[in-house]
Amino acid sequence: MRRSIPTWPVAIAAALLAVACGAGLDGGDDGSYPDGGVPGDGGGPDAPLPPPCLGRLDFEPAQPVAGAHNEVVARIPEPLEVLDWQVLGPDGRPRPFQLADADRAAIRFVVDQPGDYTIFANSGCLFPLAVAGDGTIFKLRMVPTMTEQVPPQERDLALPGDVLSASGYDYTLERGNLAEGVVVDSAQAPVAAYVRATPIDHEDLSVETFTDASGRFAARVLSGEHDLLVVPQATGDRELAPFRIGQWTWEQATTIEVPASDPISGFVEDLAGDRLVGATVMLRIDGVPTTVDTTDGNGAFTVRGHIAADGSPATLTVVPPYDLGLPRLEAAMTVHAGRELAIRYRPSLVVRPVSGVVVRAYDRAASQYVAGAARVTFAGTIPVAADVDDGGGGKVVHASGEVLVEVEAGADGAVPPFLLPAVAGLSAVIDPVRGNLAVVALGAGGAVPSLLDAALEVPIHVHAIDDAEHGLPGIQVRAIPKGALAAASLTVPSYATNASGNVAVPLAPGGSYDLLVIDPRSTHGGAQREHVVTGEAFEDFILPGATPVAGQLSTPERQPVARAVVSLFCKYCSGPQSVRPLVRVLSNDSGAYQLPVPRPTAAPARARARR
Amino acid sequence: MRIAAAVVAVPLIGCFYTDPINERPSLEIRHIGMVKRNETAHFTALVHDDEPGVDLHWRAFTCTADGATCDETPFVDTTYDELTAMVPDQYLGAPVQAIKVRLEGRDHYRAAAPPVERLFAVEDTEPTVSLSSESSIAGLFRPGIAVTVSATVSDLEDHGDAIAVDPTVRDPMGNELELTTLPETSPAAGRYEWSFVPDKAGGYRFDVDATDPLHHTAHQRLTVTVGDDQPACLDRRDPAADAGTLIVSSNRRFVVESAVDDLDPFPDPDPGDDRPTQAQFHWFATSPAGGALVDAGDGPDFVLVPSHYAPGAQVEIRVEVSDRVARTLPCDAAAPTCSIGGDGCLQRFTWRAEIR
Repeated sequence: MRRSIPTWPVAIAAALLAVACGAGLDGGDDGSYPDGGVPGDGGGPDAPLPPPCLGRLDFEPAQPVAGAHNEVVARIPEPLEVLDWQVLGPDGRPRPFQLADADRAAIRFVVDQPGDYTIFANSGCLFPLAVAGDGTIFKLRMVPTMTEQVPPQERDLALPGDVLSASGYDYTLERGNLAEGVVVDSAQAPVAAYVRATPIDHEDLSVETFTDASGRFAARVLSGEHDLLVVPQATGDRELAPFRIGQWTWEQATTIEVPASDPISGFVEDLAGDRLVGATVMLRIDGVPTTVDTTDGNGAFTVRGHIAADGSPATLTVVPPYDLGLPRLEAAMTVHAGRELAIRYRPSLVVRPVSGVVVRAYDRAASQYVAGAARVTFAGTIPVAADVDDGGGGKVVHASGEVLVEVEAGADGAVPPFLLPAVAGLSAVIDPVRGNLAVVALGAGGAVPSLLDAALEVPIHVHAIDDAEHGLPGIQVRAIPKGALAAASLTVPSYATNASGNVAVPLAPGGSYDLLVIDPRSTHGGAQREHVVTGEAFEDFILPGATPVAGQLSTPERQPVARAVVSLFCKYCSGPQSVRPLVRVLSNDSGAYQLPVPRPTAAPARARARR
Repeated sequence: MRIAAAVVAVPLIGCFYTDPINERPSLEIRHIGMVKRNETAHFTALVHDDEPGVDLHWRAFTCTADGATCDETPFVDTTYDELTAMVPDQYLGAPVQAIKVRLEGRDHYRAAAPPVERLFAVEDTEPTVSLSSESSIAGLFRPGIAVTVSATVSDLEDHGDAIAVDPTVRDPMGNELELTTLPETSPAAGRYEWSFVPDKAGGYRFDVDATDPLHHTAHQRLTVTVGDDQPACLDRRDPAADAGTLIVSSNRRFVVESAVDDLDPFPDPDPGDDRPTQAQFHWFATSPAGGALVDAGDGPDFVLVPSHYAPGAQVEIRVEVSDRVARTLPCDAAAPTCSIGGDGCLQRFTWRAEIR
């Protein structure tokens, strides 16, 4: 039976935030409970009076989803006294929790199964928490047109499992505020800069803009606190360091003066201990990039950034000249002002010339390998490729290495000589002009065989079916490369199922993929499978049906938000589904939208595999 | 003498009596309107008699058009005062084209009126045809999109099956195109549906001749104007900021949120409908090895991975939109934007980013 639910999202939100103090001061309990105790079993004639019940308990996330590792933080907004906590699961059994706040105002616990949880706080004050099953919570992103003067924003969308259609998912979009300001240097001269305002806890809703010739910028941003990143453009020999203003709000956007920065200098040495010329160096200090410099004839560099007085966490990136075969370096460290960084490739790391390699691809017609033109990418990681010493007498930091060497084989398959680190764990991604993609794992010492053969691809067979096990035609299957394949920056083709719901997806032998199965018409939910390799034969990808969910977008002035892009994301998914929208629609001229939302089922989108 | 003759004559006049002589009646057949097959015809008699009360006898016969040959057996035989009868459809295997009405009458002296016969031509009206057209997608007539033409054919006398319907469609050059008769067609119900696929823009003339068994023909023409397919336009994009060089420090999705197109808008405004395609996007990005833009795949988004580039690298991310019609962009490969129409409808857009 079709059931329509006009306003329940509001109701559920209210319920989650509502107070349900079961006992209160006169709730029938006579004392406080020790951690882990049971309500009502504590106290005695001398037991102290219980503290008062609190008005509210906040949960983060507000609409949690069950999962073995899914945590919920319960927080008293205004701590009154020492609090006693207890968590009961849907089965009535106590759940372990950890204090998440020094003043005992918050706890953290795992919601391992869906159902109604009960959180006791302050001796008998009980707060209900509904935990949904997996796949029922979505993230709705709404991007109005530029003319609407409404910034992009997101809302959670929770869908109960027993409805076939739902309406009333109406959202009033915040109008936001026009932040206007001017970026100047210490001499009050305008600065050309990139400006990005990122709402706290909503990285995906960043608003970006640029200053004009007079240093002015304007952007419509949400209310609340943002991280404001300002990256001045290098002009001539003047290079100002990027900086961030934390807890920034739109009212602060008047005149922003680029703060004085700290120079961070150092040098880079190659495997032989010689100064390395032409390496690109940059740090990200507490998430903010520094300026970029290239080592000079003495292997020296100087970048500029902002370092706290007692040092700042930073990530160092060094990219050596491409033709030397050296790996790119990444190191997590603490950077201090005034100290010189000594970056030394490990002498134990060997980079050796490789020559005489011929690339071949399997020719089906000839039933044999045939040499030919190809692009070959050697990729892999080296746990420790260099040491970084800041001269402060502290611990030397290890830098990992990332190998990425690209070579082109000619028509005869011959690869010109090149340099490659002699380390384990490297792979060669072969992309022949004629033939299929293949990945070849190199030997333990990174030895490159004289013949690099791209083996014949082995397709996996995907069968997309609906809940009733009917084949679904036109379903899109994308194989997203991982590992060495991803490093090779390859394009991602997509394939569509035939009338029976079948499709053979060719995968590079030796490669690894995330497989994404999407209904481009959005009448069914999607499915994904991570770390898929060739040779796996899939039975079925079961795509759940979709529930039409309708709603209305409006401004606080009750004006419809027309032609807004409404995208639905899986809020608690991992992998490709977490960043790609499940469905994307436009609101109409009245601000109304209708989304086919993948239906939550007892057996949500899944893939069964057999070897 | 004269007086005696007069005296004799007076009683003679008063002694002779005779009944008036009964005139036999005469008849006329009257009919107003047209006589049509499969319809009721109504005839009245105009009786000329010296007394009322003439018994009438009507008979009607189907005849050939000239009345030279009529059925010997009347299709109606009645003694009512008026004749009301359904005109038959067929005579001698052909539509009835005339009927002969014979009227006889006798007065109550049994004096018979001279029989009267009149030949009435059976009227035949031509069929009527009405046409309408619709597109299989969004009400738009575009090359490559099937056009469905519906016809309703009716005839006052003839059943739908008896009407011969002959459709033709010609392209703007006057060439006849192939028509497909759709399953919804039901001649008995006078309902026809055909489809054709225009291959170019212009006016397509759709003509239908409907001919009844007596070769009365109706002709109807419908002109379907097929417009050019419009190139898709890139609409909303993420990042929306495009006036400068973006700073990219972590994996960054570049997304086309929407594209405007007559047939292939993105996203599909009505998910789940039978719209076969949406606008397609093709991406290019500066090679990590530097220099040229390289193919970066299809789809509504592209993920820029900064770890593939050196810090400070200047990267271009380009997207081009296409719809079902293959077009060559009229711009230099180095142009960051391109518009086929030279207006605000962009088919190419390029972001600039710096890796940090």
